[in-house]
Amino acid sequence: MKHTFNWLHVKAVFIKEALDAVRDRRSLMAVGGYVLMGPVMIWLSFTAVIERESVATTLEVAAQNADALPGLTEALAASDIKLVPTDDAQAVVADGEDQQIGLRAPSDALANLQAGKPVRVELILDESDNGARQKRRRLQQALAAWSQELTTLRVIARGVSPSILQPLNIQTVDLSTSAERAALLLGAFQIFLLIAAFVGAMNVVIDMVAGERERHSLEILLAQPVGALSVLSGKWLVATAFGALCAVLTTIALALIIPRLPIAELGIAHTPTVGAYVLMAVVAAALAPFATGLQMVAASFARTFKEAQTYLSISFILPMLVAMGIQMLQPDPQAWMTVTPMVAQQQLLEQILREQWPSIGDYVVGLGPSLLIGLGLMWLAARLHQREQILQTA
Amino acid sequence: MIRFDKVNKRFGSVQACSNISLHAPDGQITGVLGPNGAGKTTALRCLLGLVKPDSGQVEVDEFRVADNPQAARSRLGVLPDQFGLYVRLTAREHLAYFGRLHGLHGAALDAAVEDVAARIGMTELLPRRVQGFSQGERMKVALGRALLHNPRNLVLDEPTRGLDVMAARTLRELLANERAEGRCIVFSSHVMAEVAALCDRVVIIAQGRVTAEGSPAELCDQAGEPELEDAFVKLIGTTRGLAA
Repeated sequence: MKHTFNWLHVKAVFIKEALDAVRDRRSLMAVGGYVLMGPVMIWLSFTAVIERESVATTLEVAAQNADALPGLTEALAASDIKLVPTDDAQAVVADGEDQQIGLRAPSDALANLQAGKPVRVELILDESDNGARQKRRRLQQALAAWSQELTTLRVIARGVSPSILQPLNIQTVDLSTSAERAALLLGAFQIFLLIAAFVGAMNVVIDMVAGERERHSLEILLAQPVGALSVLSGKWLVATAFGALCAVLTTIALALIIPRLPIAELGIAHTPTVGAYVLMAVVAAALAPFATGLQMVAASFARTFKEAQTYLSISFILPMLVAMGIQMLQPDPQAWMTVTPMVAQQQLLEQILREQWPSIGDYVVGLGPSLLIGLGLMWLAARLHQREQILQTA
Repeated sequence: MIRFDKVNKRFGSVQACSNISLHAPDGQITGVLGPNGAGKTTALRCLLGLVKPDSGQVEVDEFRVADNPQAARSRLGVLPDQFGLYVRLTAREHLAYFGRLHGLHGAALDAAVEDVAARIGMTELLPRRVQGFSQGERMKVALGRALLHNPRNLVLDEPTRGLDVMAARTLRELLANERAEGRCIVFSSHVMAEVAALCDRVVIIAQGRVTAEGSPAELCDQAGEPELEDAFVKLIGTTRGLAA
């Protein structure tokens, strides 16, 4: 088998494989399922996050002897904290049915307060309980604010400026723009986009490469006057088209779901523009040549459909780990990252989401290697199809 | 014309082909007989250029397979034992695909598809997907695929296996017609009556080597048996004894 390459053969294989793939319900379901599943999952997790972060509920506190501290009930009410009087706060909290946190003031609280002595206030909770710890922080903050207010009133009553008690006035200046905060939150979307091409191409590759072997049709195909490189090129083009299609459809699905997410409640007024979505689709689709090449090489070692599924799910998890690793570690940008498939796409997506528009050159440098490496991997798969072992079937 | 000249092929410790020489001339049907594992499949793969012999030559017409596999393949029509069809494609799409791989396009391709379908009697199968085809219908598609580009040489690996009486009969008539047109036909089978009725010459392969060859009558004489099946068993057994 020589490396003869003939465009007419590539076209013949392309027509056949495209027809075969479009009629394969499994391939279409893989694309359709992913396109639908991604946005739905994001929508569900997103709304869950927003509910946890932004919905303020009234915090009920079992209060023992709180009447001894006049004004406390009103002050805490301003922070939406309600004191529920009880005779034994510890019992209520230990019981765990009503309030998860309790407040206990001593019987001499009023006397100490009036005498200007510190009043010992106990917060009762189970520190091993995450929810209770959050409530303790909220209650503690409210109590600290009230305590500060009392201090201010006391020093004013003694003719001293309250500012003398505050040598430092600490303020945080948040430099992140709303677009950048949005980018952080939209990081999950990036991972969905980066994997789309792999999902779209996977089933097509398995069917065309390992499936061809399992059906015993590979031998008769290679027995025709056609080079393995032409055959594999035609197949590569079809799977690349499926991968790119899946990436574009996933972008469209995300573009439809993002405006429906309640991100405004998180203080983010910004969503990507139509132009940004188009660029994101291009970047995600540009992974398809690489994804297909990688999967074709892996599938060339598989004799059956099932074997290929095992190999490809590994070749599929690796890039996913890379994407998630970079997402979580957020390493400093380095030269190799701008030319490495997956990583380069991730960087470009990140920039587009932050509205730091990459230049044409950035796209060429970032996306070119995916095409070139994809072609190289396809060539390798063609070489693998010239081994005599390729004719062995399970 | 197909010629094997002292072809050797070894896979690890297994000598799949051992000095195989055979000549299948045009206008004749050459039967290749051999027990399973005798080396027929390896020999076929050497012919198709899918396996490279360790030594020796395989020729198809004037082309050496090792030097010009593409030209050799374009002269061959192959019906493998596993048909290797695509269930989601129609019969017509199968024929069109392989026609394109042989360089047929447009009107010439359409004409070739209609012509071969008429010859095999599968015109009504053309628009249907292979998914629900019977074994006989699948054989017709695979045979149409082999004949479409009008090859000078036909290689059929157990073509009648799994066919009903009528389909097998149709196939035998077709092979006789192809021989009359001067084609070189090589076919393997385990049905001795079929081989005796159809083949001009028979080559017996066992344990990777050619153990006997001649017309069915000559083989019977050689073995001193009136039936080809008995002659076949004896010839394989005799050779095994000689080789040991």
